[in-house]
Amino acid sequence: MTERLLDVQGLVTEFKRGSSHIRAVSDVSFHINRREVVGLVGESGCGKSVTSLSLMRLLKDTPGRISGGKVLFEGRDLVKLPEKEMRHIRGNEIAMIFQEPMTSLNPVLRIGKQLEEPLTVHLGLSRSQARERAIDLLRQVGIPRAEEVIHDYPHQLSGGMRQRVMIAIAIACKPKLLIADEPTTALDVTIQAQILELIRKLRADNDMSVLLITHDLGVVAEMCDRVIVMYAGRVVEEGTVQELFANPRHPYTKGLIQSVPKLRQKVRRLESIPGNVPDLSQMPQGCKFAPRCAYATERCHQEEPGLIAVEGSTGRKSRCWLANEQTWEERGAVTDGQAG
Amino acid sequence: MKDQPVAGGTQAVASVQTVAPTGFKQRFGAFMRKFLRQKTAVAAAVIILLLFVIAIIGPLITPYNPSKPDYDALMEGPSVKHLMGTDEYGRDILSRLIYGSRLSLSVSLSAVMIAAVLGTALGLLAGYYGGWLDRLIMRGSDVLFSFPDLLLAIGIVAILGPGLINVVIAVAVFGTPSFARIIRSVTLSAKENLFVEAARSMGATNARIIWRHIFPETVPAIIVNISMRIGGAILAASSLSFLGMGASPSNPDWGAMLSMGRDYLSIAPHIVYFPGLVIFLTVLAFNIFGDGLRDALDPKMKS
Repeated sequence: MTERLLDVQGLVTEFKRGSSHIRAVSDVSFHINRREVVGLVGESGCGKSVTSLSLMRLLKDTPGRISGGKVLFEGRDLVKLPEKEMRHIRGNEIAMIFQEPMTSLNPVLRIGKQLEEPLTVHLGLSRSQARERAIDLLRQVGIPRAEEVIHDYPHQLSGGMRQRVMIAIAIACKPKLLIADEPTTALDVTIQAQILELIRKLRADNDMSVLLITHDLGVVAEMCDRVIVMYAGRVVEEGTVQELFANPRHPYTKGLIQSVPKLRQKVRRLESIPGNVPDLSQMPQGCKFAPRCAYATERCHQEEPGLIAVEGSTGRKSRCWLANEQTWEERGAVTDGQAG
Repeated sequence: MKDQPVAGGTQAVASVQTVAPTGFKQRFGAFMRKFLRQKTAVAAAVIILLLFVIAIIGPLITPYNPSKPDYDALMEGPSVKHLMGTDEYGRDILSRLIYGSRLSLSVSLSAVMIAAVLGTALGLLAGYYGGWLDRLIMRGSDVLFSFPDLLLAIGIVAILGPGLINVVIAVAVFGTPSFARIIRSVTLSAKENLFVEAARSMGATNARIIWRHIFPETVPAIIVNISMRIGGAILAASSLSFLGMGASPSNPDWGAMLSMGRDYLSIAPHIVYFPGLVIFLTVLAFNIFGDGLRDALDPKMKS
């Protein structure tokens, strides 16, 4: 169970802007076990999507490039793999679904064609075999009248249906890892639940691991085994869903959880985290969250903490000087002298 | 006169980007509705169609043998017998124009097609791969662009020698960079589509992505540019023939006819008048047709 499928170690991705390099992802490490659903959470612009694109090495058309670290997938380092082998991994072993089901299908190709493509390319199926398998896949993702939908163009389907088709394409070659980049953001709430349910079912049926990228903590609580919280291109907290929600060890995680409205909540005012994500080109010295943090101390503004193991549980880490301060939730803002 | 419509069109065509994401039938239906609304373009299309029909069935309808002299009827003006008169050898000008349409259309069409294939391939490569390949192809186009079209064609014919095949090559060479530039710009925007990234995330090869996902997006721009370029190509081919670098004067080529008739301009203007009129009408029809196509295929020009 604890066998690691994907092990990211110290991943650094930089974007070139003019002559300077901007670190969108800096020293990110995490792992995904087999059959595990891991959530990658954070605000817009915190580097979630860049991380996922880096894993797939899909940064080619952007000014970005991976400038450090390792991405070990079943022991092979994807960063160093030749493009040809990487192509074999994409779609075949790691597949991806995107945020916008409206635009991630080619509008001028029939559904069937787009679905059969990976089957013929990766699995070497014949036309008729691919067609049969395509219909089967569409049924698996819960599309009624699969035999007819195959002849449809994407615009004839609704958003939810299109996302189902995207998922069908993604699981076509039975990948070991599915990266879902905000798969439900563009969909109606009722459809969201269906799509999540579908991903969960497919994960169980196909023995896949899933990396679920989202900013929706509700989705994370629903779907994931483990959560990784990112902020300003860094992992700030990592832990199992239960632990993380019950006892966040980073002020940012706490803020995120508090800014989700809850049922039967008596308070009128919804908590929010003051301030904005720092500009990647003008990072504060010290802890990157310190300027927005209610608990920040002098030390937080001076020195950036590393990932500190949280005492009392295995695998929990927090990038906060106060990670092991038992009482920090209750204490509120601390002064310099009390920190330590 | 030749540069104006084509150069103006080039910029406009570059803005023809991805058409709204609908199926082929819907796209085609919308296109036809928009095109039919433009009366002049429809008229131009009819003229072009007529021209092609005449070129194809030409030998069946010509009243006279186009190269048979009739020394009893030298330089006769238009009459019932010879609708457009006769030239200095007594050859029927109407028959020669009909035969000439085959030459002019085939020369210009093949030249533009060669330019379209070459230019599209170069544009796709430059736009998709970028980097040094892009710079190489685009700087090459800039070099060709910097010559006035006709001068470049004259230079090429001067090197290769006169003859229709060489005219085709010359016209194709100066047509290529315009295709390369337009297709490159369409490619640049087409490759930003999420479905291109999705295809790559499924492990599709570059060749497959270019052919399957990007090339179809460039087709409207290619069609428009072809139609805009044909007019210019006819004019260029005629000009080369006029200058004695294309078809030999005995051939019933429009440009060559114009060139021959020039000597008799003061005594028999009809020898020059009719070929000139036909060239003018044909080029005009193709240019208007091209403009109409562009407007109908441009998603930003919804009315």
